[in-house]
Amino acid sequence: MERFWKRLLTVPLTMLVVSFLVFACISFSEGDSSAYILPEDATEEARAGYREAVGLDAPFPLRYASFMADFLTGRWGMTAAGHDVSKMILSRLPVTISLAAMSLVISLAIAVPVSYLTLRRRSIGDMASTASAVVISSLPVFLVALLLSSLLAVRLHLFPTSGFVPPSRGIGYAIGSLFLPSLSLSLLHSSLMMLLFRKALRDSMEKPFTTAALAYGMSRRRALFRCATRPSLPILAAISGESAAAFIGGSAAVESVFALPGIGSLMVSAALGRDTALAGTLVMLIALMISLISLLSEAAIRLLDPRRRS
Amino acid sequence: MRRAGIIILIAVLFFSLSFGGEGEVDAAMRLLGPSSSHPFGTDALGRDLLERTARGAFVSISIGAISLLISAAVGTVLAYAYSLPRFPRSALLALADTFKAVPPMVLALFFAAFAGPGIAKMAIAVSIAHISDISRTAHSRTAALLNEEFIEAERSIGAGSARIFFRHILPHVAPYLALQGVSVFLSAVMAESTLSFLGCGVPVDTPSLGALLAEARPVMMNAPWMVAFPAAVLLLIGLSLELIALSFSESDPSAQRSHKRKLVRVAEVSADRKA
Repeated sequence: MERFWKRLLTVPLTMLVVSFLVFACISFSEGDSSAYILPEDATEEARAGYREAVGLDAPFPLRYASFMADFLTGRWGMTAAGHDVSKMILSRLPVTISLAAMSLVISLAIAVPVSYLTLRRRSIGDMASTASAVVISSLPVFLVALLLSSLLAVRLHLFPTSGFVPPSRGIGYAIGSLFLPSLSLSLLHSSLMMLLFRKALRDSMEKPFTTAALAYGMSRRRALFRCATRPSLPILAAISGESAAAFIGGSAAVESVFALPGIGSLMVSAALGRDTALAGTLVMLIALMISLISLLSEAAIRLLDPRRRS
Repeated sequence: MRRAGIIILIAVLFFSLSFGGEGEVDAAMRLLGPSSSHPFGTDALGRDLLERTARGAFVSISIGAISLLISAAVGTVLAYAYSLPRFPRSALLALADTFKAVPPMVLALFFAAFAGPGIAKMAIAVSIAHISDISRTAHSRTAALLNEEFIEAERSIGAGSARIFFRHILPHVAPYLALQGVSVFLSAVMAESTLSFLGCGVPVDTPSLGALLAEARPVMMNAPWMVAFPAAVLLLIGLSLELIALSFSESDPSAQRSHKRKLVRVAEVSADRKA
């Protein structure tokens, strides 16, 4: 249990390190809000007075502390155009989360059956699936998204090319608008999942306990499900955790190709508009989400693998 | 499998070096399909796509190479730190692990927001995002070596940490760091092409494979060669790096020849490599 508390401690530590990096970048970038709050012809004294009133001339640690306090209480400020950042982010968060969730589901739905079906080494299924896995994971995510959208959406009109349909307008349309983006993200990760899970299954099939079960007369198929699956599940949990984290990160490209209003595309527009504060807030938010996800996945591994329970 | 990867990579590099160029703007020859004078066709401004694709391949590969060098340098420094006797190793490991929470793409976008587009910033961002993997590799290899008796013998005759590091630890750790660098290389190529596609990567009008794909996007349906050729080159680069990296990892499909591999269980195929 002591290790659990240590592991839990990494979340605030991560947030500290990331927020320090972000805040250092923000405070060292040129210009501050006096450039766009005060009129252009404001004198230097007026600027100095403004800075003192707002608190921009405070020493670095104090400003960092107030930055952290603001972040943790949800006061994420305004963009230069006057939009409330927290409202913007919170309205876009569900899109990205549903994208990531759907990608995870699709990845598992592709990877697990293929692993079971292509277990035999050197079979045609094995070679075909491995070859396609290697090829797909050599392409960047946006390229897969582009190809899928041009093939399935534009040519064949099976799915919408862009835009997000909220579930309030019909859950079928909502899933349809998310399907292609999720598929692009998940093709890459399902290849990795399949390779690792299948290897774990093959290794488990050769372990002594499986041999014993087979010697006792269990059929190969039943041994596959009863003996080999359980030890391979922790690996699936591990890579699911990593993939979920990567989906959040990779959503930037996919959301841009399919024009989904999510966190990723917000990050891209922050980068294009050189909005350091918005980008920094998003980085910290993403770091928080990913550290929580990896905590969850480690808990799942602990649960699934009896050897790791102390 | 590894040899195939290396051969493909060298072939792409050779191709990019021999055909690379800016391409002349010629408005009369816009959006022509592949022909004998323009083997890859022309783009929307009439520039020869072969030249631009080759130059773009060179840009992408060089960004990957820069990231590889940066990550190798960082790994070397970390390995030296881990070899010092009274160094707080677990603290540094935990510190490096905190960066695992930021995917390479997100960090690169943040750097682009903070300091504008640029090749060096992208390379640095990708290296920082992978610092957790680099530090783990450096730590495990250094720790494995430090327990050996000959290190203890060296220390007992008064060798300093620097000498031990340069004579013994560095030659052992270097191949593993290089291998880790291949993974970073791949991640950098993917991140750069994605960023250039989105418009925050290479400076405007510099041909990079991602930028070429961004140019191709509006005319994708009418001029499929503009997507096909950069995509094919990108696929080849990614494939070669993937083959090299996979050949050292556990999930090598051609595992029959494992007795030939000296570096075993080194590279973990990491899912967040491509963000």
